[in-house]
Amino acid sequence: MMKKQVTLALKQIPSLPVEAESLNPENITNKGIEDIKHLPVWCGRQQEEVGAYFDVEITADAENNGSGKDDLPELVLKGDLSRFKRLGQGMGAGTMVIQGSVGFHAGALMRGGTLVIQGNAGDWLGAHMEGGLIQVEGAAGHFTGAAYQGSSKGMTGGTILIRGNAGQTVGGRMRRGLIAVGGDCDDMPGYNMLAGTILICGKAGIRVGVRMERGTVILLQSQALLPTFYYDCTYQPYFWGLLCARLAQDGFLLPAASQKMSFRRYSGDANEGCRGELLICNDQAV
Amino acid sequence: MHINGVEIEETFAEAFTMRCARATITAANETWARHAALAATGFAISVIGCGMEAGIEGEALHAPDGRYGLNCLFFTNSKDDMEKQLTNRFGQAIMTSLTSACYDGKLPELHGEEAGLSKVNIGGKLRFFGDGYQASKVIGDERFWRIPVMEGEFLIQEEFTVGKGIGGGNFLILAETNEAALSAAEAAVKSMRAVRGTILPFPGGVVRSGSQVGSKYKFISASTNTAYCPTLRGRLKSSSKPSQLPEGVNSVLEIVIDGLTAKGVSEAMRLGILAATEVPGVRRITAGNYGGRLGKHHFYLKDVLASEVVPQ
Repeated sequence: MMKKQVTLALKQIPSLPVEAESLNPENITNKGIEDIKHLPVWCGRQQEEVGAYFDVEITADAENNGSGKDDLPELVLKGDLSRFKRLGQGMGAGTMVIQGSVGFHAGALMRGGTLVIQGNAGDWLGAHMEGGLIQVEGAAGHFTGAAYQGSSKGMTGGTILIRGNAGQTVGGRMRRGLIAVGGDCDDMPGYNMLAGTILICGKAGIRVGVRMERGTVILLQSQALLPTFYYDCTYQPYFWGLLCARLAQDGFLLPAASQKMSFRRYSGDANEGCRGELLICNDQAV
Repeated sequence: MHINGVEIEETFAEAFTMRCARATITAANETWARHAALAATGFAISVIGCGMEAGIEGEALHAPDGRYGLNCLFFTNSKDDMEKQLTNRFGQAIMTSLTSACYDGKLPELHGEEAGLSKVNIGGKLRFFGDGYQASKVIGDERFWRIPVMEGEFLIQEEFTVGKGIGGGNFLILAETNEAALSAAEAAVKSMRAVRGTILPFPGGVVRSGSQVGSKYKFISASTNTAYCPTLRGRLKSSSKPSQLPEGVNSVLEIVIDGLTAKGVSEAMRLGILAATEVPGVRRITAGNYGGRLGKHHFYLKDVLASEVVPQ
């Protein structure tokens, strides 16, 4: 059986941002080339069609057989899509691969499936995400997995893996799920975090975990902390081994020695009940 | 039928459907993983008197947290019993054991509706030991509970998979002497331990006090297997249930097997019987049954011995 693949190649970079939440694997199922070309996208107040921006091709790709998570066709977008917003927004299943960079809100409200971004991602990546997996091979903007302004809960499930750097407020108000950043991140990761796990392999900006209520922020590099985080102990949490295995399963490999490293544990934010935890790697060699 | 000159009686072992679960117990090293596993599977010989049958299946090939791990199998009569027993055993035996963590070993051998797969909540109950300071961690689709303890943290998975397994596969070794029976049983157990998905719940894998259903005393449900007790051979001559021991047999040992699948139980029986027949002094191999009325699973010795080697 050959896996169906739908490829959308960008004709040219638009001069204005385009909102393209219609592009996800579920929306292209059982659709022909013409149907896909007529899917709506928005440019400002103007409704336009996918065909205005993309060449559409449908192939049964034997090499990619089984690469999708289910029977949905794999959706591949080619080109610099950094002016396209809301790609993969709300997707619930299937695989969507973007061979380039994407704009704001990619994978926001995502419920399942896999979104692979082979370039960089804009702000609000995976905001309010509920499930599934987002992999970014480049960097991500601000507010990854965070809550939109006025909302009390950000990401409530799923996994976001960023190999490069991330912007400010990674996991702001996140309620559940996992965010891993391979590089550095800007200020306030885990801001007002309610639960879940954030791993930052590089350097983090200031005010890590500020106002966090619960959850875990793991830092592999030393970091000055807010005075509202209190030192508990130095130890090896056993769940770290599980987390390493889970990350490896999704292709996010940590140094081999990292599975056995110990952490300095801090409880905080004391202003919010001191139920969250910061784990800072104690082995400087890693 | 004879193998290595030992008579294989034309009969069958009668086994029962039981609820089964697997746990992977990890620790800082083998010593402490074994301490925890032995304690958790201790006094789990027979559901009749212990409420559970359990044993160490073997080393965990891929322990979830990357440390040394042992897989243990647990068998009970019902799902409710399983939940109660695992909660008590994990709380008392594993949580207390140094550096230990406990994970659902899952039951990939079982599938389909027949397997009766479901979950029991164990970690979600033990978490209350944390007195409000417990914390959960969801990794993938699975929830784990982190319970603060004086050493650091006890980590346990919230839910454990329960399915339908088989309890009570068995065979009996009839030998001329105690020494021959013991050597044959030890050889059999050594071979059978290699079969994954099975355990031998009795001490050392062998039982000397095989039982029969019922008793002359109303207050107990099982009593000694009189037909195979050498000391009763003469006394039972005029009994309605005479001795089943052939001339020259002075010692009988039984090996009981619990397994996740009929294939596993059958393979363990085959390996055990073959090993036992190689020991001089063994006269006959037979099996225990209740006439086929009680247990759903019947393992005919001739079929078991004719089966192909099942790679485990």
